[in-house]
Amino acid sequence: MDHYRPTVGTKISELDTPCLILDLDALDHNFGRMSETFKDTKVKLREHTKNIKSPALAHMQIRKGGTVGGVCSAKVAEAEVMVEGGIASVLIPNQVVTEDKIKRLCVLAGRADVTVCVDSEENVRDISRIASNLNVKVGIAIEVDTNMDRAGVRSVEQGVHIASVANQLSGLNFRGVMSHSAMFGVPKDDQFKNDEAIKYYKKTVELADAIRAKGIEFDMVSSGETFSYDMAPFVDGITEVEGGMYALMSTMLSYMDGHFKYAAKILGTVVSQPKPNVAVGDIGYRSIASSLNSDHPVLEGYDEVEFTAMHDEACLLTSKGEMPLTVGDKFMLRCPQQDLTVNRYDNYIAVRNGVVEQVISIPGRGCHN
Amino acid sequence: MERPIFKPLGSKVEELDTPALLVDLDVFESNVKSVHSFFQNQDAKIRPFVGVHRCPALANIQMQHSGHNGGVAVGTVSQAETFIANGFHDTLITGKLVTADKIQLACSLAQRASITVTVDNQENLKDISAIASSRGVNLSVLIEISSPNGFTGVSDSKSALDLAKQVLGSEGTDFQGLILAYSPTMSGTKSDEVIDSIKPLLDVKSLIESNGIPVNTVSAGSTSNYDLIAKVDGVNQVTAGSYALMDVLNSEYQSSLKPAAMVVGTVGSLPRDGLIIGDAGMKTNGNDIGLPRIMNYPDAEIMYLSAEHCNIITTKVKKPIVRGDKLFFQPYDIGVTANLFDFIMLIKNGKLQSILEVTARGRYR
Repeated sequence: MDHYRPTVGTKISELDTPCLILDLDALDHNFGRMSETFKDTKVKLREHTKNIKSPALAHMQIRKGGTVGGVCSAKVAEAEVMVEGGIASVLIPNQVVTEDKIKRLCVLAGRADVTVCVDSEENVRDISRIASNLNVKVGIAIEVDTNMDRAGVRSVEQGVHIASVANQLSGLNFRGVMSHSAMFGVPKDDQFKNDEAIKYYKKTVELADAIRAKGIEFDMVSSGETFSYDMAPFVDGITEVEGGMYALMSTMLSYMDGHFKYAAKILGTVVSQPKPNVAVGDIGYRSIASSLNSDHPVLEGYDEVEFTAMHDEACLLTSKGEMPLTVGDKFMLRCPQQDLTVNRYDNYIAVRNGVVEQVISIPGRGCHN
Repeated sequence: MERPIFKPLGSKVEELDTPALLVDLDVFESNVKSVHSFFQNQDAKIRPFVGVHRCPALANIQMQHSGHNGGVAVGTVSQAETFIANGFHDTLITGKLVTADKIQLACSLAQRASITVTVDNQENLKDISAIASSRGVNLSVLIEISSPNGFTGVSDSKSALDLAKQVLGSEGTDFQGLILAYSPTMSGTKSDEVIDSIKPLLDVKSLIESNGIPVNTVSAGSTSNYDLIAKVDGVNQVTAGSYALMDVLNSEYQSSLKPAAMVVGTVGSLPRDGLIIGDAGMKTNGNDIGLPRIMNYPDAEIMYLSAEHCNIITTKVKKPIVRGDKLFFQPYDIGVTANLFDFIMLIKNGKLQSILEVTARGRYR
């Protein structure tokens, strides 16, 4: 674990590196954008905490408004962190299948409004049995696959069947339908992006309508991502949007940078200058996560300098002309997929106007259980 | 911080909460014995690079097997802080210390431990000397020599000689020797290329010695090439790390060493024929430079990893898979994967033996 907590007022140029910087102005902008989008619509935001991993940040978005008053969390452990941090409602858009983890989920459901997603009857029956034994009620939503070929039911009939089972069993509150979607790569234009978004929302609503047609009542039709957030108000039947990446932004969503600003970055220091046009930084792929086939991190503020390569604990910056950075200088990298990077840090060093304003813990780090 | 359900010691691996990082103690010790006994018969000795697993408890087991030179190596000064706090005295920090904060911390550590740093430029050496002498401590210095795929290091012999003389003439620094810049393991590297890559290092050694300056340490190598490098006349230290736990990346070179570290996940969904979804994705496997290998279903194929899920194609798998079944992954790069966990579940004979802390996880500074 890292215990770096620099004093309030420390200049960015004086910080020890590599460290995770949180740009508070950018964060405020992103939270404000979501709040403005959803404050007067029927659809509300349910922020995904797999990105921020901090109840403090989740509360900031809830206070800004436009939300359902709760969050979604990738895993039971992450949900626990949110509930312990005072969040009253958590959706787990994932399957919880082992006996001991279902017990843990049930205990959490005794303390907060907790909903978990299912895609099989057997799993629903397991949760019902354990929840009944523990005398709690667990919210159940049916996960429907839209375009990821991942978890989720593959047909409306299958979804309706599981919903009917869940609706009748003890220990459960049937809550509705959930889907996750991905924009693989960069959409060719906004029209394409928006059309895809609406297609996935409609697939989710299609299952919701079919379940309602069986006389089953519920209140949750949860879907959407950062790339599709602004289309949700145009689709009747969607009740909430699960944006997550928007809060801190990633370069893989650079096509959304007209909507949201880069709030999470890794600060590094130049440690060597082996050639006049080359600088070596102290950030490697352990301190800034990448994934196969993803783009490199992006260097901020130096148009003529390119991020050219990375080792486990070092990176190579190459300038087209004279290298403006020298040994000891600081530089800032934007993350290709920010949630993977946040998951590798214990603290955000939150800055405004070039100085540290506060240090915010990341208690959800490593909460993958 | 990671929040696993801590199962009673003696629980079977199949009963552990997932995703979890497991280390099989017998395989780990067998790898360590194999590599350390090799070094017992060499002039060169291993300095285990414990920054790979970041776990002092595992490092202690490594140091119980002779063949090493009494010290360990880490990537950063904050990792050195962790290991020294856990009783490791002789520590090499391979990453450059260029800011006053880091040099100050290294000097604080040097008051109770033996600290070696690497240097590749004169200004940095001046800063280190100024701070160390003002703190009244001495840091050992290795001059770093550039390598074919490395980023840092001095690339000409004359500059290296000048730096060595500067170290000798500076207060607060002791000239210890030379180290080849870290060079990542590249698939398909041939033995003669490995030997060629250290020639510049040996040339610098000769030049410095011909100037009457003793070179006590000449350090090079890694898990992929330790057996080749250790036999090169003139090299007396190898800083290998992955050998103890092994990963997919190094298996290409060291097939006699076996995977001791595994990520275990659980099948959570079987949404259609031929596809299973597990709970171990990029946040627990890490696929920064390569995909993990599925150990218990060799015919299964990873379709893709997302942050919290793994999509696995099972059309060629013969045995039936049900919800709740376990998936065992060999990490592609154990250095990435160990850094994602706060705990290691130590396994012996398929049962939980103890739970170790990955104490230096997240210590990038």
